[in-house]
Amino acid sequence: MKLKSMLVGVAALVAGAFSVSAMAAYPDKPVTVICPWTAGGGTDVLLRALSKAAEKHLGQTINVVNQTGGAGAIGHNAIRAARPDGYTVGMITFELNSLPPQGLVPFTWKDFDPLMRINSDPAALTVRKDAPYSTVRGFMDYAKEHPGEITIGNSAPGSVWHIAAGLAAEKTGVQVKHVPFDGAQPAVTSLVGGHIKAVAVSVAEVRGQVQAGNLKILGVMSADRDKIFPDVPTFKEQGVDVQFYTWRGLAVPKGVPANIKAKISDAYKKAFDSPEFQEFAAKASLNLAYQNAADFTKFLDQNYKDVEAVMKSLGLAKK
Amino acid sequence: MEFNWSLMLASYGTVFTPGVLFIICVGVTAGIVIGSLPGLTATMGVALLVPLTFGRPPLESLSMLLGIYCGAMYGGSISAILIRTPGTPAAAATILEGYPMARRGEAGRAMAMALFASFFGGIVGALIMTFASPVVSSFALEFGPVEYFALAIFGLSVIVSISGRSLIKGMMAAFFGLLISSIGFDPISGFPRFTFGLMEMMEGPPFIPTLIGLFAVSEVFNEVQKTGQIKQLKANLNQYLPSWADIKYCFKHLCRSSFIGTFIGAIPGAGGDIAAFISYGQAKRTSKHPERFGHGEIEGLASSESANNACSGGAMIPLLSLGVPGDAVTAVLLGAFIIQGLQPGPMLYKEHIDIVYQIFASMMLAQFVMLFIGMAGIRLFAKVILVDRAILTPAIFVLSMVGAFAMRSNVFDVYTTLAFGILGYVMMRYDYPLSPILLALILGPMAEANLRRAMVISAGDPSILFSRPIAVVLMGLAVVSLALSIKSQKKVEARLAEMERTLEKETAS
Amino acid sequence: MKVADIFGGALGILIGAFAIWEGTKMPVDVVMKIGPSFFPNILGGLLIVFSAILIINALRGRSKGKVEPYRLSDKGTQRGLITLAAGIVFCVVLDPLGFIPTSIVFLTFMMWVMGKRNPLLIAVTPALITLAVWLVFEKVLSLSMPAGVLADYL
Repeated sequence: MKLKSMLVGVAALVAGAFSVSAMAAYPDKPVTVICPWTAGGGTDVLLRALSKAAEKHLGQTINVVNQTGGAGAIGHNAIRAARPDGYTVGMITFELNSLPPQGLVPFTWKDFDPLMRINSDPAALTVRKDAPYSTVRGFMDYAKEHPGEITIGNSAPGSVWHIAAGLAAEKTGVQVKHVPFDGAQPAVTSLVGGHIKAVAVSVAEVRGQVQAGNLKILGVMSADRDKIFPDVPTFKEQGVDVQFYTWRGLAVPKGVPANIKAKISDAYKKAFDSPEFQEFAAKASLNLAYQNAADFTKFLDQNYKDVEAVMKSLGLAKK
Repeated sequence: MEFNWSLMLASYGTVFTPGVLFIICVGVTAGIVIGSLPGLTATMGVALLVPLTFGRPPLESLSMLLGIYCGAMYGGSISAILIRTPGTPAAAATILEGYPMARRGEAGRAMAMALFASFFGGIVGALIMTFASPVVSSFALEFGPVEYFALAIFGLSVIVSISGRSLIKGMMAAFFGLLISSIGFDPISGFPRFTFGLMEMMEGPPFIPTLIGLFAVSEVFNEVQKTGQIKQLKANLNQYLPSWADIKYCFKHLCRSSFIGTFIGAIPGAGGDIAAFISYGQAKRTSKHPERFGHGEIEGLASSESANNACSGGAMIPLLSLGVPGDAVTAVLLGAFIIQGLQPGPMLYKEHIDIVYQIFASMMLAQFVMLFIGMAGIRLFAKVILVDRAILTPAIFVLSMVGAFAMRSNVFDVYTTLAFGILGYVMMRYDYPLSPILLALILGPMAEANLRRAMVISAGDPSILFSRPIAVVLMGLAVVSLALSIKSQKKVEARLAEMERTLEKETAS
Repeated sequence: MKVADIFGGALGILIGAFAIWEGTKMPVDVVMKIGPSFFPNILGGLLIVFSAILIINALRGRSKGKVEPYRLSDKGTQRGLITLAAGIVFCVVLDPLGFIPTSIVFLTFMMWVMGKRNPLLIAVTPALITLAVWLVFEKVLSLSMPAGVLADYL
């Protein structure tokens, strides 16, 4: 009898503890943010800077956890499979839309609850400073006259920049050889060393070498000109209608209560607007492009269709 | 770029202030701790602490990060020597000699030499970085796919030297390791190979857990079976610096390895792990006692440790002068520079030459700080070996698993560690050397990806491989080194067999 | 060692053959002639060659060294097998149970297996080691460990 009442008491206490923790105002413990890319990389540094600014608005510690591997597949999967209690947030990136068409992952962006888009960086076609062409057209003409000579480096097979370069080549009808590297940085280094003819990576990734006078940008694949290099025309201005971006945003697993979602979004939006973060983004030459949840969802839908179509036509998608 | 002596002196003045020195001390200490923990590499350490530098002045931030970098490169050797756990991949070659030394009761001697060699290598690296950056960096840019392929082949020729008692088993281990390294996305077409449908395998088995499993966990299985039979290890811990005789004995190797380390560090994409193994191979090939290697030869320890620390100075060269990181750590440092509003490369030399010289100065000072903190800590670290094996062995297992998990918070990595632990144990039992697998995992992807890349560029014409002087020289060196190593390995096998025979005779009579 | 070498060689041949067989299922690059299967084929082939040499050497009685055969009655072998089992259990329960309980139980058990019987030592040391590891990784370096059953309290 005594034992039984004790057990009941313990059970009541435990139940009480659980219900209290569930009832308590969100957030009552540190929040984890999953980054699908390695610590110290571009995505990671951006996420850490943003999360640091968001901490004081959320009133809790935010821990960035790098769950890397499988070209981003593992991290995205971890975000999707996390407990939907608002204590796990994640950064989703372009690869979420390029992995499914390759048949590499069993999920799409529809399995996530998007919160906001943070930035979107257009691809830029960059060549060595001493190259005999200085426009996109000139480059393409050169490629036509010298078949088999042009090699364009990208960051990985099937990566955003591989697709971008493929799209540009397809639109202009030239034959180029795509050389995948292990990340954008080695590709840029190889271009500076003269081992390849061009790279199709973001402006941020070539900025240092362009400013140092080793490389020149022929064009950016965006609607508007770049803020750092306003002299560089877009592809469209040069008569090649190609636009291609990578993007990063925040998302939570499906099923997070609306009020908690609002709190997270709110804290991150304030962090996004904070002068510290804006200054950070300017230094890192990130092309900030905020979108709220509704717009981001629409964007993701469109982007997924576009990417899938491009990958199919380039033969990168699974048949 | 003229060398500016007065600016150099002025930068030493700026860096040699209590505030900056304190920050360097903090960085070095954090680096040593992070480096000595399994799974936490120098790259991870710097990446974890970069956010702390947001909003701090550049000199403070960068000197702290440089301190972590140098500290972690040395810290890796501590756990490598004491508990056969490579704290960082760059310390993997240190295990080969350091751990047998510790088992022999020479933990103090090994630790002292590791510290001194790290310091020596670090100083050589920092000096070359200060005085020869422009020359070395132009060399670094010469490296394209063909050159990387040749470098990988040259590195792989070291496998012969680390094959232990049987060259055939060493080669089997190497090709098995190379096959493991081919698991995951094909580097050119992106086709997922041998993944068995697992998402976790799409980039191959994770490197750090594999490393920890092969060396640390396998030793745990080995150790538990011996309890009761082995005496508690003894260690003579009254040493802070290696004896004069040891330094003299290893001096040749210290110098050569430091240069090899700096140059390999300066080649983008090749880091401390490759440098350490190549130097180790060189040391064994040129040693008077190659048969002692693998059984606790201090020459081997000195060369691998000086090479991996020299590498940090080398890796900074292309970062500062070209804006191109020399290894994984400097790739993270590049991000830290950019956050500070500094774009490494020629523009940094033009616009912020003062910062460049301050980095030279803090790199140099970090080496001295590392030496002093290392000396102060050496007895403390080495105490680990005196801990009761019945407590230490299970603790090493837990620490290995935690280290494997921490890298990317994935339980799959814990299973990988265990699986490779079992594999490592079985291989050790049947006399298959483990380090060829490791070297294969480091160099395999480099060899394959760059060969395929070169083939894409040349549209399948193999003559591209012989079209570039550096590559031809490296491949020639690989052939020579292979021939010499096989010759020396034959001698080693013969000597070891002879020693075994005499031992048998003695025990028989 | 002779039997072990023959067995090891056979295993090497099997692994090499598997790699080559898997390679046949990979897409072929018609232009370059070296597709995803190029490297694995070479490696698998060489692994088979060296494995075969090992077997031939073993058959000719050239195996080096000796191995102590396992005996189940041997205390060391028993401890090895217990450790293996404990290690597997550790990995399986790490995520659902959480790092702290798993580690404490594992350390206590292993210390007992390795012959520690002092109750105070067995009770206190595992908790201290676990706590120290947890503090360094989770709190100082903010690398998250599996929380498991303690998820709501940490």
